[in-house]
Amino acid sequence: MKIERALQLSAPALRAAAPGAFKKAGLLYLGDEFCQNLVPSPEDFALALAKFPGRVALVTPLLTDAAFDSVEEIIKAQSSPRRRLEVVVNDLGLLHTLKTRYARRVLVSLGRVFAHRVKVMPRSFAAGFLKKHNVKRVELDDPALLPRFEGLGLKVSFHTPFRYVSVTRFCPWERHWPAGCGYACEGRVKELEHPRLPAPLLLKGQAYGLKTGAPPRHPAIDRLVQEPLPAGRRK
Amino acid sequence: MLIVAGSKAYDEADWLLSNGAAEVYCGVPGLPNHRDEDQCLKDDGEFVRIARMAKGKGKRALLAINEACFEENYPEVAARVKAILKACRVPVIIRELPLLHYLRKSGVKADFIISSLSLVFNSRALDYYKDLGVKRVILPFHLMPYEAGRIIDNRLGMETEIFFHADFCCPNMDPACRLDGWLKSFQVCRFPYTCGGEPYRMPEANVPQKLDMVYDAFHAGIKYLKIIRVTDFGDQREVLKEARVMLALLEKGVSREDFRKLGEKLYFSVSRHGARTGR
Repeated sequence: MKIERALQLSAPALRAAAPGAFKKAGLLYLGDEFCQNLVPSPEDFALALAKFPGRVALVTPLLTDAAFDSVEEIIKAQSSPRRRLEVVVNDLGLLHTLKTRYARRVLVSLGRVFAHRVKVMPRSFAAGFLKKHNVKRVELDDPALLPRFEGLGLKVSFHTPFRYVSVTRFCPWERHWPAGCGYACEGRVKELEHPRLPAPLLLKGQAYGLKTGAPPRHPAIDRLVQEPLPAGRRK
Repeated sequence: MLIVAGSKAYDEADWLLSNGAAEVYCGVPGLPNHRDEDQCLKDDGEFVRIARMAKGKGKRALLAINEACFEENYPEVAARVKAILKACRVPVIIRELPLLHYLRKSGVKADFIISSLSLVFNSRALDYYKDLGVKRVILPFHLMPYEAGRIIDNRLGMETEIFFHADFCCPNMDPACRLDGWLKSFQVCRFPYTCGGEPYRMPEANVPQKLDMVYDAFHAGIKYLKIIRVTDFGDQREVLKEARVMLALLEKGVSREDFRKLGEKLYFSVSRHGARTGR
């Protein structure tokens, strides 16, 4: 099976990207699963379509109503039954709305935060829930979760080299709640250490996580998503 | 705002309801809830006694089943919840979608309250719950009142509740934080980390930011203010007093600036806040 390669970029990273930055990827994951300030505006998304020769998927985190409106504007403008937009979803409200209003215009992938909710659902309920909401794909970054999603008919996008462990909405870079983002996290990673940690904990955007190695081999994985991880930034 | 206080014993519930709480919420062992058993009541019978005592005072008790559990336990959970509701009609705080659906399918008739752990971040999520007997939504810890206007003023008639941030707020987003499970430890978010050789603490809201949450919650029209369960009841009594004085200030129409000034003194009047910040 051919593995598709995708590149994940936040909206500010897209704005800063050089023209040749996307050459190796056939698919661009635009947005962020952990911070709504890194999700593209409708203008960003249009810019991505102009800059990037391949397909562009919209990546979304948990959404406040204001962020939801912006995401919905992109969906309205950039999807149609003939040109379905792939949307990575971590929010129940968005999942429900995509099913009730945009089912024929989008392809739904279950995001990494939401995946941890679904993994604890009884199998029969999870299967019905995913089918009812037209979920065809799941985003994962932890090989241990692969067996939990087997038999649910989902394709898997596997993310490297960052495996999320925790997420906050109190910005660790600027020390305030989400309003008034100065994008201080852009292009930066912090490495946290503690004697009890088996490996440094990375702070990337609003998420804490681990640096991971090569992706596992698994028949359900048909897409690898590469998230650029700035190296050597320890502060 | 009406105060909803977590309780772990009959006597404590009695005190809370007699000293300003309009409701108490409790977990019982064996029914899935987001606290260890040392912060639960002894058994279902104690909950029923609390619910009856609350009703006698013109107040209410809420049953918390705000955690996931294995599917094989669903029938027992449903049977016990039914038995409790037969003895005392109380609202049920619930987190997991499948358990909510199962309880309804099993004929459990209750007013449900959606837990903060269900991460309802927008008014569209309420649409999912609208036909499921949901009467109230507890806002997630990390959703600001100023971001939640459409949830608070929802057209579905659901009430809203918010945590008392001037007592407690996690640095990270429960339940999307898996640090404790990963290291099999407690409050990994508060470890003293280093970053490039310098001390590093996972940031959390400071006192003025926490007080702003309370101020904004009051003015946004959120109906219920939630005080968490804690192990030391002495601490909880202090927090209840802090909340009551702050609400009295807000009801008097104090400005944000004055609320911050007065609120900071009140905040540090609570022993565990002073201990946490080293003051």
